[in-house]
Amino acid sequence: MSATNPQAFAEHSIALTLNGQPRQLDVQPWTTLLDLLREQLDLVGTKKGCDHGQCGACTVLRDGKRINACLTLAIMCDGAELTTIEGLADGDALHPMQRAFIKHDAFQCGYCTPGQICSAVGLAN
Amino acid sequence: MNAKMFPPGKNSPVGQPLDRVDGLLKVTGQARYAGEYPQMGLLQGSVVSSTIACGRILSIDTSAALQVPGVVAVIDHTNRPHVASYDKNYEDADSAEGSPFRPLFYNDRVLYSGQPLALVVADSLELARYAGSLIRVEYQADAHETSLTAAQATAHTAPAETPKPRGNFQAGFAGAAFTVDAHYSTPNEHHNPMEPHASTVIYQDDGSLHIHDKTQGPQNCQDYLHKVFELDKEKIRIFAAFVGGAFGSGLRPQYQLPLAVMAALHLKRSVRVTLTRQQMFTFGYRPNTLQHLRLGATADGKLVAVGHDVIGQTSRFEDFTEHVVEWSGMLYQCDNVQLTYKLAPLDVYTPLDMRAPGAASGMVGLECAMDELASAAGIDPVQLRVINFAERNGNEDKPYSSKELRACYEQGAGRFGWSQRNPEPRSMRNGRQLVGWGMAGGVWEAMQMKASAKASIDGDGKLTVSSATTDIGTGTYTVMVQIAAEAAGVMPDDVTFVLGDSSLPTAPLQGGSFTVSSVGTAVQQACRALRAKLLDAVRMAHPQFAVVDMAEVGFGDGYLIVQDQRFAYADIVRESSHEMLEVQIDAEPDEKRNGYATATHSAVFVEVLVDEDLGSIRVNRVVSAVAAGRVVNPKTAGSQILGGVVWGISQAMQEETQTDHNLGRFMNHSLAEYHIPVNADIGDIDVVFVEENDEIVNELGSKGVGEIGIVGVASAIANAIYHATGKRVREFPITLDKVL
Amino acid sequence: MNPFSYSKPADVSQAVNLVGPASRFIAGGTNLLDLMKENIARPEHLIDITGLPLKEVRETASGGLMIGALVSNADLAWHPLVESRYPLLSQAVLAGASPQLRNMASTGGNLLQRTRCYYFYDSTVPCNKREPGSGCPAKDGLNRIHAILGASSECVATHPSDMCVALAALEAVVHVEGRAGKRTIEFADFHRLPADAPERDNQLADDELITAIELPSARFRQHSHYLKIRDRASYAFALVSVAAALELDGDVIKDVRLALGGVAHKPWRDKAVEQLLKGKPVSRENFVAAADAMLRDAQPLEHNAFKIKLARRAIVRALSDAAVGGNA
Repeated sequence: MSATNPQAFAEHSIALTLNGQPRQLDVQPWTTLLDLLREQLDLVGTKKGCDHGQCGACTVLRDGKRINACLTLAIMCDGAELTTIEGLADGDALHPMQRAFIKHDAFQCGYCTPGQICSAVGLAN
Repeated sequence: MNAKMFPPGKNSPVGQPLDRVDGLLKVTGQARYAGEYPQMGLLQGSVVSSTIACGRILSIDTSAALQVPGVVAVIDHTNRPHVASYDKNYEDADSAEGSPFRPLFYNDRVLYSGQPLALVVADSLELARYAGSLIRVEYQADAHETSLTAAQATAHTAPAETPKPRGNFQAGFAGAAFTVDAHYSTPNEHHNPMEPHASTVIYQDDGSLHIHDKTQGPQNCQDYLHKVFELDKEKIRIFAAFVGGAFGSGLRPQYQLPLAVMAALHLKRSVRVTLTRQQMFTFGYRPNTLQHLRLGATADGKLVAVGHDVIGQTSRFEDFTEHVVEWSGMLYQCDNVQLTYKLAPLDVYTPLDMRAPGAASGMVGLECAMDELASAAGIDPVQLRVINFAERNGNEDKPYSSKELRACYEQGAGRFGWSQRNPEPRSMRNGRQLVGWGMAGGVWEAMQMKASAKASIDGDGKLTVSSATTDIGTGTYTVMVQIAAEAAGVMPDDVTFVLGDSSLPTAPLQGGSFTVSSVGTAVQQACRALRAKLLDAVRMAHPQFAVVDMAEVGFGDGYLIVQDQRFAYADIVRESSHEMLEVQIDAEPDEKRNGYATATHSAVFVEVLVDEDLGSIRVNRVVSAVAAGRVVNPKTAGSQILGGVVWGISQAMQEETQTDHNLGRFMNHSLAEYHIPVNADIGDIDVVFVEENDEIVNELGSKGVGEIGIVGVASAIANAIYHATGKRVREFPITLDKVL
Repeated sequence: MNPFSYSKPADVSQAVNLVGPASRFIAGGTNLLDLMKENIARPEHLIDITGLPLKEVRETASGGLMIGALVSNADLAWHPLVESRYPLLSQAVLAGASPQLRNMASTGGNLLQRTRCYYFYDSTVPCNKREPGSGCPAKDGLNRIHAILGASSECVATHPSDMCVALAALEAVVHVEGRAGKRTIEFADFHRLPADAPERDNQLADDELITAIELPSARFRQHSHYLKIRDRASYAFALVSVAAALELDGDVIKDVRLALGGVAHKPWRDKAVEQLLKGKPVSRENFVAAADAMLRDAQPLEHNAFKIKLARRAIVRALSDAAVGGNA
């Protein structure tokens, strides 16, 4: 099999709102929202548990609704308003869902916790 | 003088339902796991896996992959850098007997489907994955065998110290008034922690390596790399600040670690290798077992024969053993016991300890057979167990240091409402649903290992305690803070516990439910020793107390109290000539344990609802009553038991890694098809910790709760399904097709 | 995933004119990206259709509903007109996937989901659907989740959608548009049986885009039920599912629709069986007879014989529940 040169595929510029901040980003078509967050923006609170939409650890809020970041192409988020676990608290004041998770010990290893919290917030929305 | 003293059990931080000290980091996404440490110029690795179960590699064509701009290297067996030659260099603290697996380090041999064959290293994850998909491997495939059922005749006796037969099993069984002779099977299961295995190797300017790894033993990984790569230990530092679950999968260094290190050393660059979810099915797992149970009892239910014969699967290269039959020789009083354990080698990877290894599967056979015996003898299942209660561990012929199992039966049954049970199968219903009530017992060892800890207190009165253990979600950070606070006499808010760093004082692997017992004891002793240091400092600084005896001194709330004087720890440190007072100790199990058997126990009560027409089964409620000594933190310990119960539900009804034996390959290697429960599967779970005082097991009196929660749950569910339907399903998991 | 180029057209004709030999439309992406990550789908160009004006649900002149292909599964399930008039459809949609996936997945895309056969999903093993002519290991392998009806010697895969089972029962019509223009496809004809070309799941031409799903006017709102039986309470594909809908006159069945999921390469419907029930009273006996007739040609594989028994019982249960007002 011959290789295709991925660099032949141009980066696209997208504009989105991420955790309340407007962002202008250059992304390759094949980069998922999850890899954009984790590998390029160092927002590692959004977790990769399966990378196939099966575990929910990558759940973020897009326009207030919960989605799987692993099955979302970053390039298709142009114009979107995204909230990740890092954007839920208001400064030092935790979101009520975050407080509830602590109070009820609703996590152990914590790896799926951000996704669960975002999912719960999406449900409450 | 209002210093709060903390006598154990009264106002002590130990025993309080403290919120997790790492909770804030976890709910805000700030807790970083192994594959989440950024580094300038970090390269990403992607593993290429074998597609056949047995054979040889004829060729690996990496040319297309290497043509992709941004691909830095492809490492396979033909071009890998030098590594150690001897098997012993590949052993680790949790090795099985045999010849440890060597990722990429064989020549051309393929030992199992999914074996790592090559590592692609590239500038980005997308590039590495894509380039990996371009690699073409040609194989010479040899005949393989992956079916334990097909290979059971080839099984050999496991290299395990199985208890010797006692009494005369054959005679006891032949003369019994009631007997059970039944075969059970449990499937292969993969750990599937939520965080996939990952290693981030940060290549330092001096050639040393800082490695963030998903592991249950940073020092185990350090030692392994030291031997495999013949590198000085000082050049390897392993970190594991947060571990996204492991359940045993991190007890041995997994292959992403040596692959990432190999690439980093070869390229002199920082490299990360993260396994895909599919690749989480390409190393250790809980092995398939075939179990034969034979029980015999007198007319009044006394066991006169217990036979438990198990065949488990292992790889061609290692003999993985676990304690799978021992429980049948210790949970109940019986004089005629025969336990055998064999292994059948297959063309698969070596199994690996998974939560309550051995017990979770072996107790399925024993506790289902006990239920069958109860039915045969017409005795209530709880009563049958009470009749056969063992005061001593028959395997070792030792008394138990404590065993409040009867209280588990009693309190569990009470909470559940067991007395309302109609023993007749199919006698209880709710509309279309058949209602079934079942129960089972659980047992796990209460072990203690050697461990070390360091405690230091600074001029602000802040206590820092450390040990090279991990927190795989069990709550280590939190409970060690509580133990340290009690032992040092400070408030929990003033304590920081540091773990997950191979440079810290020695700790055993985190597993087997022995972390509180082992590391907790070390922490306790270090903090006690720190009290002595504080007193010494007071004696030095205040001549009037130069000869005061330890017994006359109180410690609490961050104060040392002697006669009518209170000295804040912070002031003591500031007045001393040191920046901080520090002590490191090595703790060992107390010799008084030697005369005793030590174990945790449980009784699990379950209600299932079975749709009579459609076979669908719902576990409606569970009561798990646990005796585990002193509970350090009821909140985190409760979560441990909850998690264990959920996993037991999974084990009973859903979980199974399915092998296509024609292909020699696991086929449901995803979280869509490898079923574990979702929220909607879980009904009410009530966890009860029964009071259990134990002054033998360790000074904390705490036995650990990581394993016990899962043990017995699957049997209790199977027994409840029988009670609901009248059908004994002995092949796990019990999916709806088996009860239709 | 292989590299690809990307474009985002603004209208349907532009979109279908962008179609090339290795291009794919993408909307929710919930299945396509999954397949691309497994190297099962390898498009060289993605046409992002999320900018197309296909997001409306509107009433048709004939009293039915026209559902834009880009309406999300969640918006469809919770749409007041769907909930009140086609509760069967709402139930079926909510029985599938997870809330996250339903927020992303589109109505059109739901029709195009590919099978969940283990062998199809593992690109290292043979599969006639993935690589025609390579073989079907499922036939002699792990086939507990596979087809009992309409399978071929080439393929025993099942269609995974819940929504489509309800759409089959409701006799939806698929509106498509290609370079040659617009056409409609009866739902029953949309998906194919595998026969000797299992690589083709449906009748859509390469350049055709689903633009809408049309529902005829609602006649079954009072008496319908979607029953899904699976290995766990949520987030599992159906072992067997049944969409049952009745139009009753007293206790006499005026009209009935019955479709099965999880048993065949397409949602399984048999009009002869429905005919059998028409004019008959609601009774367990009649439902059992219909169930038997529905499964009469079923062919089990080594591990899925239970599906025959399960499907029979599920049909009786679903029809019974529908008769008493399964959506109450």
